[in-house]
Amino acid sequence: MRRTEVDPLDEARVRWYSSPARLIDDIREHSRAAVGDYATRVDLAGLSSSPRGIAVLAALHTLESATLSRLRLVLLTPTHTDAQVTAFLATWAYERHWIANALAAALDTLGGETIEPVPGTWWQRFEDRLRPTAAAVWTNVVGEPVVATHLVEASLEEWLMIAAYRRLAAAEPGLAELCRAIVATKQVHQRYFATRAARDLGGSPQARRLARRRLCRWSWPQRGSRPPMVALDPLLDLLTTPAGRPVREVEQRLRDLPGLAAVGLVRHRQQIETIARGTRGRR
Amino acid sequence: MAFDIDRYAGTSDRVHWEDLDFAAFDDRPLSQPTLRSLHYMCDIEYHTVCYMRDMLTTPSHREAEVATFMTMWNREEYWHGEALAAVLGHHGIDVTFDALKARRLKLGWRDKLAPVKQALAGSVVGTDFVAVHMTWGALNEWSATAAYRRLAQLEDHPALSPLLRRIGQQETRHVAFYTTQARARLERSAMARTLTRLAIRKFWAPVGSGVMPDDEVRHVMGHLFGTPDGMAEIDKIDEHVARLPGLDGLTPVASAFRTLGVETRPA
Repeated sequence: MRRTEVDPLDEARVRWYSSPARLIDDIREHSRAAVGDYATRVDLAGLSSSPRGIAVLAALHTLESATLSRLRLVLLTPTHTDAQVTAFLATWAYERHWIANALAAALDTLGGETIEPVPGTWWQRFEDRLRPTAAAVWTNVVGEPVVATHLVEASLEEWLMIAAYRRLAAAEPGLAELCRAIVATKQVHQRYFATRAARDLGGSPQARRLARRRLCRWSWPQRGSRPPMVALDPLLDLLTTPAGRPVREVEQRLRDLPGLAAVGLVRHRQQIETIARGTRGRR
Repeated sequence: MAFDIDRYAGTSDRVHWEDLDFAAFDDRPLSQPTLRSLHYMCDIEYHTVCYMRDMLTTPSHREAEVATFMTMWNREEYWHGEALAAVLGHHGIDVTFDALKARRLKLGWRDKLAPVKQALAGSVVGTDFVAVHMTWGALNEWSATAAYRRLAQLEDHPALSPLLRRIGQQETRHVAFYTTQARARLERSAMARTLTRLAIRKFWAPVGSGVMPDDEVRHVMGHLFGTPDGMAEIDKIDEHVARLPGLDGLTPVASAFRTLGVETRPA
């Protein structure tokens, strides 16, 4: 496809996962048209950015590269038995791989560097090993309602990442084409998670209670990748200025999900930073 | 020879079958034993994500090459399931996500505890545990490749056989990845060789065992390999295994067939 042409899939993308009744058909259609290498869609060699924009790209690359760590935590729980969710995740992981690949290529073009994870303290390493096992045990006791919580958390993450890409595109016109292409893919992911979460939450009071309880302790970025927190600062700044508005907009969308109207993730700037940093204080 | 992961990822694609004339199934529908085997293979392809879950309990997923492979592999295997489901659908057999979920739920606590056991073993053993997974994966993929090749030969069907060969071609790339990984990890660690030998000798069973009922496993293995030609394929898989460092003399597939009671019929 020539880069100047309108992507013929755009129309279909907007439609996918809008309706709970069409989820299965849309999973198949989406997977058939999965987005691979961005080099065929975006002129990666023609990108330009300020050092600030490059630092945000590096932070985004770190998060997009942690797909399998995220999958690990999800698949060890009862969510792995949900064949519809796992079918979607096969395409989700594939598309995230290529997003991370595009970000790495962009960093290479712009003279930036990817962020190496920090080894962490012995306690953090121990926790990394123990956490999946602990998650497998408690989620299997809770059972099926945990699926909705995973979907809500994944939806939240996609909303935050989309907000970040949009703000980056606005701040850095030389990255706008790349950001727009990535957002088009991530909107599809977000819509699946939100639509399916709404369906599950709507049908189960237990799922709504669990989601509310877990969201009180939710942090972002979720553990799995362990970048040095200072490397995430440019991304955090992008999401928390002015006055936390981008994150607050995400919170508003979260409140539209069944049973989550009273959930407050963000009340003031300090809290936004605590949420966004997640593991703050453990650098 | 090194496995070129970038080339693999760049050329990874879903299996295509739109160009195959499925109307051939109307003229020559598949037999019940073949549909039963296909249904088994279809279910197992969809269940790949469960095998992936076990792999993710090891530290290997942090390695970029392994992570890339697992991502592509999982999607390709999902599409193998979709392709086989399309064939089954043409014969009036619906393979639904709900049915797949029911099968996974039926496994009960054994399935729930499996990753916990894997994670604990991985924590105790460390990175050498990855060699067990890679060798296990190689053995599974050799078996899958042989199974698709055998069914394509047995049926010699204008629509089914080309589809099975396409799936088999993708499986051979999976074999290449797993064997490259397994060989390298077995070569550099005596502990890895000891553990892998023990695990393969004591615990390996044909792909699908533990997920599908024993009767189904026995049917599929007998249907595909229960002839002198089929058993020759089994011997070839065992020869591949025995050529891996530290695994000489092992015949895991033939042993598993004996345990399972797969009978050989005349060709």
